[in-house]
Amino acid sequence: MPSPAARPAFLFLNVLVVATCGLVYELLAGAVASYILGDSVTQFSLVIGLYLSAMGVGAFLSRFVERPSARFIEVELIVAFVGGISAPVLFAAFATTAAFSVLLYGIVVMVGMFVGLELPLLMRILEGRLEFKEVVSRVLTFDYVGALAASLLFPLLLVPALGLVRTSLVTGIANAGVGIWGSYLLAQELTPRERRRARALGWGLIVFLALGVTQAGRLTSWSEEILYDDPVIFAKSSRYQRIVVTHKHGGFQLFLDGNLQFSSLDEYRYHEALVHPAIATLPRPPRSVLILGGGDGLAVRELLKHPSVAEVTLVDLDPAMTALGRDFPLLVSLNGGSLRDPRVHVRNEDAFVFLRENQRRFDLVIVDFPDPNNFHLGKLYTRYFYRLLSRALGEDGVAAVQSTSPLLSRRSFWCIVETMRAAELQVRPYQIQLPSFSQWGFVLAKNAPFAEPTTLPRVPLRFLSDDGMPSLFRFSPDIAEVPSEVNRFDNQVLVRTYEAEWRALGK
Amino acid sequence: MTTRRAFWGTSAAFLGALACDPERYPRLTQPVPGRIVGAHFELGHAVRERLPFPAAAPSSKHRVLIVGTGVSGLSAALELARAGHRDLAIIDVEPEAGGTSRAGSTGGFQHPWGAHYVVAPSADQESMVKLLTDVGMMYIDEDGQLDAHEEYLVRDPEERIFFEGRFYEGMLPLHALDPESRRELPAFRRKMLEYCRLRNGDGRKVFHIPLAAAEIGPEIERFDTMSMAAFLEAEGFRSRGVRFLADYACRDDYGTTSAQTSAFAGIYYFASRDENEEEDGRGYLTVPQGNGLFIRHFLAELERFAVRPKLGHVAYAVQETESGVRVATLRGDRSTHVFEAERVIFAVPDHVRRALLPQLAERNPPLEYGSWLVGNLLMDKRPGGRGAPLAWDNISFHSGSLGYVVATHQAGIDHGDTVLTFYVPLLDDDPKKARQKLYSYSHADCARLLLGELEAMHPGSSVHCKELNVMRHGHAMVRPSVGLRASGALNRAPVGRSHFAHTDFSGLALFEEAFHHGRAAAAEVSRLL
Repeated sequence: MPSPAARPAFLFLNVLVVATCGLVYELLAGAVASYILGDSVTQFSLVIGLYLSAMGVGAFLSRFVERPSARFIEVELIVAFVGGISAPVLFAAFATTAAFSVLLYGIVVMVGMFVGLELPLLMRILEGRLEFKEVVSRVLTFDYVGALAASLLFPLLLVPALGLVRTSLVTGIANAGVGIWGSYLLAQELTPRERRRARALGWGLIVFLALGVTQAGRLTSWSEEILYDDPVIFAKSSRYQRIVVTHKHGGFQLFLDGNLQFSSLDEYRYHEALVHPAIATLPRPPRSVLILGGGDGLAVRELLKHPSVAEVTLVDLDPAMTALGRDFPLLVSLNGGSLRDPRVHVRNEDAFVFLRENQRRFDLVIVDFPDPNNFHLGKLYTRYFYRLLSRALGEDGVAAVQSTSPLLSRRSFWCIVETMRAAELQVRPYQIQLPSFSQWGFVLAKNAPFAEPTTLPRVPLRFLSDDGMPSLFRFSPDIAEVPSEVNRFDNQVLVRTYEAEWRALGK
Repeated sequence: MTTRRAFWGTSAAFLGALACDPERYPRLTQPVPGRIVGAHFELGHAVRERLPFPAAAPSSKHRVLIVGTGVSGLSAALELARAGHRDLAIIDVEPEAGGTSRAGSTGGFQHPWGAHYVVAPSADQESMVKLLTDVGMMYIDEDGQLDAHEEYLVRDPEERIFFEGRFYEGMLPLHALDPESRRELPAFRRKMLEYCRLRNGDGRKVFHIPLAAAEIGPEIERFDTMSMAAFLEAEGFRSRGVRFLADYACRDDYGTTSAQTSAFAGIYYFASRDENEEEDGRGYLTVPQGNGLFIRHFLAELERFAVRPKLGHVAYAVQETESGVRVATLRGDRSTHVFEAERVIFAVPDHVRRALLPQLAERNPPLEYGSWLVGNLLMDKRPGGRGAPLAWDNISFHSGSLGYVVATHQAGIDHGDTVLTFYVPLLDDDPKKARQKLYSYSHADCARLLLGELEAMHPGSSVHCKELNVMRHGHAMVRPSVGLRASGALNRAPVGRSHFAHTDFSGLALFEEAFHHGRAAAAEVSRLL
């Protein structure tokens, strides 16, 4: 227990810790905001501005606070709680709510206000123990030293070692520590009941936040670590999925529920491969086309290179996704405004239900679903589904099916091929190199036997060439066919296989 | 707008594990829209009043009258029509045909009001195979092999179970159970597999489907003299897991606990199924409207013979004459009608048969029936839950209800609104008391019970229930009690010109049994016409 004479020195140490913590919260909020919402200049400006002005409000309100010692300890505990959980709450909210920015700025204002109360209260506690000029000089000195400490610790030590979520929790623990410590330093100014309560709450908070530190891995695994290495420039929770666009040196990437769908840097390889080899198998240029999935409009862009195409029906479950493809400037410039073309008819329906009700036949069907990582998607890869697909192809109609990576999920790829065969489709599997992902696989399918396409239609292409065609249909030994079960509506083996393969990859 | 209806914690729902009673759940603060559908108790009670036969009433003449439009009544009618007997009358007290296989629709989604799946038959169940190929659920391929169309086999994931706050895939939370359960469960399955593999001299399964056509020897018949619970005790199965599995099986198929079910019926549940189903999938056939599909098929087929059921007729008095039987009926407007026929098939439950034909009392001791509450809940959000994702059948380890079935699962509709069908058997030992209790429930009581069950599995989700309709089945299922098979209650022999068809006569309430008895009664009558 420090002697009464030593108290001011310890209180200045408190100023140092409090100042460090306060700045860490501000940096955390700025980092989380620019990390998730992108546009870091705006986000940092907004967060710093709001935070500082909220501190001003706190400083102003401090004049209404009586008994500064008791209140100081309470403020410490509140800051410990709100600041401590700020980053985990923001990450959790980002994945689940649309009102992320409201919550973000709310937390910034709240933490700022309480941090703003800290120094005025401390100065009043020191008032009378030291001369006024001493108080001001020392408090501000320690405050600025704390700021320096935070600005060095945050990027150099805390974030690299702990990550954003744990940094937030650990800083909260430090704040709670100050609260408990204060209850000893200022013991004489507190009633016994206040002392007991402050210590109980403080320790409770420390235990709670420490538990959070041990659990943080679960939270960050599905937000920070898995998801996005790059700034997020668009994020929206639709009724069906979380849509996120990130930005990376000169390109952008689309994620659905955290799974990369394409990168603008090499998507042309994928979409050329998805569309043109199928057309190359047709006896005459296609007129009617059905696209299942593909709300980004990129496959449509490739289709519209073919003047014969008179009508494209695009069935994508999520109106938010097709709206993005139609209106999001970066995507519109990438897909050439394909979804605004009068030949394109967008229907926001479940492709499974659409195909079951469908009586029409199409010259070409493009099947471009996300990988089968859940049972909702798994039904779109069943034998039953491929029988419906077979019905939608006329005698000469052809389908091209995105069928995951034969390198990363080899058994899943060949399971899809085997399932299509079981639906009595004639199949031609093929694959390409896709730097953003890996080696990627597709399947061409028709109702009647057909030869590998060799001559591509005469449209502008960047990736495919007649010379390269034969190699698409060759599978090297490490991705060659493996025996596989048929994925049926009532067994969904593909979802289980796919999950097992990705788990094995540690994803 | 979302209305705030839910406020309860989950703890209340975990107490007193089994009994399903509205009182156990918090009162609703706001009513849920919906109603109690079906069931004409008032007309039904006219039977018990034993009104005298009307002196004069409009009448009609038919060769055969069939009373009851459940599976047994309609399959009897169809069998007769196909045999060339088209001068048929079919009547039912309900405003809709189908008995406990009726279907309905809520919010544009078809759903069952009762039975909702059948076990895929093996090739030797010829009449079932014919029915299932007729309705297009199964087919015979070029090699003569019987197979089911994929879209009618229950879509994976089939079932999940709620256990201590988390969902597990399958019927049991295997890895979360205690070591004793994990040890006993495989042993129990092996034991059941032994019965499953039992064959008669002719190579046919002893635990054959339908049971009505099975040959049961005395060494198996002895299981009728003990309860399933006693059988488990005697065999040394005492773990929580095996007891749950046996109880669940009895509840699922018979609406009873393992203490209320004969060991014969309990074993039949496991042993009648395909022995390969473990590896091969369980081979359940289903559609969103459940067994209502078969009812529609029967009605459509009968329509081709211009045979149409007359609904809203309660048969209340029977007279046998020299050349036939006269059946007096009452309608909602209290008007009477007399159906005269050479033969009558009564495809109605035991208490109705006995009221109409008092002479049955000398021969057949009365049957007991379990009561069920079936609720269809229109939801604007699908229930999630920790662990395994939403399945077709979603059950709880901690409840005496059977959980819920998702009406859109088989249709592959995975987004937006859906309907959940809750099945709640009333497990009281005294079936009469259970029935009275059930009939005393108001819509609000039913809502309180069903939303309570929902909240116990999915806290906070009852606010997403937009409409809740219920059907109260007072005589839903015959109870396969101890000693039933030897009691004489299953005697289906005709009384004079009155014949009988009902699943009751197997002592089990199952589609295959009802179908069998309907066809058998038709064959019996056909020979005598």
